[in-house]
Order: sequence, then C-alpha cells, then structure tokens
Amino acid sequence: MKRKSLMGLVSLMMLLFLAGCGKVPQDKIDAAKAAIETLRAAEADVYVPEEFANLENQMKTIMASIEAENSKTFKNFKEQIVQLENIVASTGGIIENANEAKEVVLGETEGLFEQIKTVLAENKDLMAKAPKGKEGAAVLEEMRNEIAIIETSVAEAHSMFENGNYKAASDKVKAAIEGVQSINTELQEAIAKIKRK
Amino acid sequence: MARRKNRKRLIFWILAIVIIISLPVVFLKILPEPPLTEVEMAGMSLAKARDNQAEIYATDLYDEANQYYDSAMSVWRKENERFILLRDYSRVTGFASLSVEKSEEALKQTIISSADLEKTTTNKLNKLNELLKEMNGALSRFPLPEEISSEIARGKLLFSEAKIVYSNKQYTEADKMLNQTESILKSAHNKAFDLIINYFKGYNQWSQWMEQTITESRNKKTTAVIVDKYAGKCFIYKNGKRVNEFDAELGKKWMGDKRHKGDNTTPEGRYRIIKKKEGSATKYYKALLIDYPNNEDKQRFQAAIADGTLPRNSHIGGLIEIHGHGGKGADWTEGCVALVNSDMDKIFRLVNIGTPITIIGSISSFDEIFKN
Repeated sequence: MKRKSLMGLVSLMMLLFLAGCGKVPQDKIDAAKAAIETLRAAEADVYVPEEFANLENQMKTIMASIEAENSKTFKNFKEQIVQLENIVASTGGIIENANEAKEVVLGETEGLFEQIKTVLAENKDLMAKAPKGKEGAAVLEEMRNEIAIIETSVAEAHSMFENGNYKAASDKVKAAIEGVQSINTELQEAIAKIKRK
Repeated sequence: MARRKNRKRLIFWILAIVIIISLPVVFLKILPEPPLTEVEMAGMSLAKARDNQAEIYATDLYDEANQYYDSAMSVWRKENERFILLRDYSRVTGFASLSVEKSEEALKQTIISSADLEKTTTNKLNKLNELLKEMNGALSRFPLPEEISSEIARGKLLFSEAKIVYSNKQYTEADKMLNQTESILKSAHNKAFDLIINYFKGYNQWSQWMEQTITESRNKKTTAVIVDKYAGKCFIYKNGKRVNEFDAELGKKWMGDKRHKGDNTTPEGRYRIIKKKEGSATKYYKALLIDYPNNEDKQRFQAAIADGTLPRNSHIGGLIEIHGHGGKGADWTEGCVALVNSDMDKIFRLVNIGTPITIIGSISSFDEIFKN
C-alpha cells in the first residue's frame, strides 16, 4: 500500500513535469527567419536599413529568450510565439516602406537620366549650330573629348541602374550632369564669342 | 499496536508531503541559471556596434563579435539538449562576454576609424582641389595631347562623383574614389609637366632671341614685335622700349616649334615682315606675312627628313602671318598669330616690311610660371 502510494505520487510529479514541457516553436522560428530573408531579398537592408536592423535585433532577442525558456523545467513559449508572429506580420509593412523608398530613388535617378539626356542633346544642338571653320572646330574639339568621357560614364551608370544599383547610378549621373552643364556653359560662351567677332 | 501503526503512517505521509513540496524547490535551486542577461547584453552590444557602422569601419572585430555571439547561442542550444541537471552554461557566458568585448572594441575602433577616415578624405579632397586648381590655372594654358586631356577629364568626373559620395558621408567609398582620382590626375599632371619641362628647355634660346630683337630695336631706333606664345601676347617695342601689347591667338597646338605643314604649331624664331596685306589680299581683315620658313627652319626640317623623324613626303609649310579675326577665346589657327581687328589696325600702322618679329615660347621662365 505504502509502495503504491509512493509510486502514485512520483507518477503525479512526472506528469506535472511533462505537462510543463512546451516544445520550441521551430515552425514559427523558421517562418520569422524566412520573413527576414524575404526582407533582405526586397533590399530592405539597403532602402530602410534602420527598420531592417531593428527587426534583426528583435529576432536576436527572441531567439535568446526562446533558449532561456528552453533552459527551464517548465517551459512556456506563448510569449515568444506571439513575438515571432509579430515579426512575420511586420514584414509586409517594411517591404512596403522599402519599395516606397526604392521608388523614390528610382524616380530621382530616372529624372537625373532624363536631365542629362536633355543637356547632352542641347550640347549636340549647340555643336551643330557652332560656326563652321577653323575657329569653331578648335573650340568644339576641346569639348568633344570631355563629352565622350561623360557619355561613357553615363553608360556605366545605366548598367548600374539596370542591375538595380540605383544609389550608385544616381551619384554617377549627378557627377556627369555637373560636368555636362559646365561644358554647356563653356560651349555657349565660346560660340557667342565666335559669333560676335 | 494499532495506534503505533497509525502514528507511523502519519509520519510517513507528513514526510512524503514535505518531500513532494520541497523537491521542486530543491530541484530548481540546484539547476544552473540560464545565461539570458549575458546573451542579451551581447546582442545589445552587437546592435550598437552595427548602428555605428562597425561592419564598415571595424570589419574584423565586428565579425569576431558576431561569431562569438553565434557560438554562445549554439552552445546554449546544445546545453539545453542535455539532461537538465547536467547542463553547464559557463561556455555560453564565456562566449557572450567575448562577444561583448569584441563589440565594444569594434565600436571604439569604428569611432576612431570613421573620424580618421573623415579627416583623411577631407584632406585628400582639399589636396585634389588644389591640384585641379593648378591644372585649371597655369597648366590649362598649354595645349596637351588628347591622351592627357582625356585623363584629366576622367579625373575631374571621378572627383565630382567622389565629392557627392563624400557629402553623403560614405567616407570609405569616397576614399576609394579619391585614391583613384589622385592616381589618374597625378599621372596626367606628371605627363603634362614632363612635356612642359621639355618645352621650356628652349627658354635660354628664347631669351637670347628676345634680347637680340630688343637690342636691334634700340640700336636701330626701329619697331620690333615679340610674340609670347605662353602668355598669348603680342608686344610692340619702339626704340627698345615696350610701347604696346595685344592679346594673341595662336596655332591649336602652339606648344613646340613648327616642324611641318599641318602640325598646327606656331613657329618659333626670329623673322621679319615680308608683306603687308589688306582688302582683297587677305581673308583675315589685315595680315602681316612673315618669312617663315627662314634658313634655320629649312635646315632643321631637312635634318628631320634626313634622320627619319619626319616622313620624306612632309612639307615645311608657309604662309605664317599675324592677321585679324582674333578674339575667339581659343587658339584656333593653323600656326598664324590672330589679333582682334582693332589691334590689327594698330600694329598695321606701327610696322613696315622688314620689321623684326620674334616668336618665342615664353618670356617668363618655368619657375616664374609654376613657382607656387
């Protein structure tokens, strides 16, 4: 009788012990990790770096708290599951923000490409209008070389743009615009001078 | 007997209940404490380092900190898989502490490196600005070969790009671009200076010609013309004294002595006016034809043909004049000296057939031009 009672008590304890053993929410962890990878693929780390870093930090904290819970005898992952679900849920908003930021850079860069196209076309017009003869040729020769170099740089910016590297493309085009505009001014002044004489 | 039995049973139950109640407490007491605080601390240190761009400025230390953090988490997971009483989190704590240490080092290095890099890039930017000023200044006067001009244009473009990247505080990228710019511009600068230094080897000869021309004007009480190609000036001397100066435009590739027809170079030497042209005699308003090629030019040309530095079918050229239609703001002639028409009127009145015209590379020496 005594032995039976003791066994009963131990069994009850074991049952309680086992009942407290929650399982690590691996499926939720995997889903959250996949969500972060989706963000990376959407270039959230480039266009909304703070939001992305914040989410990665949150994930680190959750993973540490999961291990802490996993170290306990009586495990309960309810809180971590909610946090992991929140990570997945916040992905949509961050992707949207990243896309918006990307659209802004994309729009700006496209605008810059349009701008440089206009100035380059204007330069070509100016060159065509420049007085023919030795004096015109001498002025134009100096510019032609620089314009060719700028056009090469714009072509490089185009490839960067096509590869989705909008920020670098934008910086390259901005520099090219600066160069082309200075040539444009020089060209106008030089042509005006030739025409005056 | 029964009472004794009952008492024993009671004692057993009391003991059993005490054991049941105290067992989990004892059990929990002897369990190792999970290293949550240490790992969280490591995570926070890493985040701080990353926020300060340690990934860029202290890459190795930041990577080490990350690796220690990952090791801490991995060891923690493994320990959790062991029987509860056999778990030992000391290695987890150790890795977490190392991660904190490396993150802090990375942060320190980041602060120092980013400040250093900002300072370095700012200095490079200023130095390159100076170099470009020099190139846009005295150097820009010289007609340089296309290869050098292209290098300068490429360097200028890259410099503009570097300035944009610098203004975005991307110092690492800006530094790379500035290094590239420096290499391109310095190479162009050195090549240009080699050419100019070589050109200025004629300086003593130019000075002699000039001195002889002025002395002749002084002794014979006549007018003489000196063209300074570097300055782009035409000076009029009367009785050995400078009485007038005009802006002059030259051959597109004026640097160097004229070697053959079509080289667009303005010849250097002591010449004389052999014809005064106006009206329908010239298409350049008024013109003063000089006696290029003189005997020295002819000898030099023949020697170049003989030694093969000029092809046999080369022509020495001619019809070098001081003429009107200048003022274009560029050196555009095929070798002549162009003045604005009003200056042409003045010089036309001052000179006669036989008036000496000396064309030299520069009145100023190389040091005077580039002393700064």
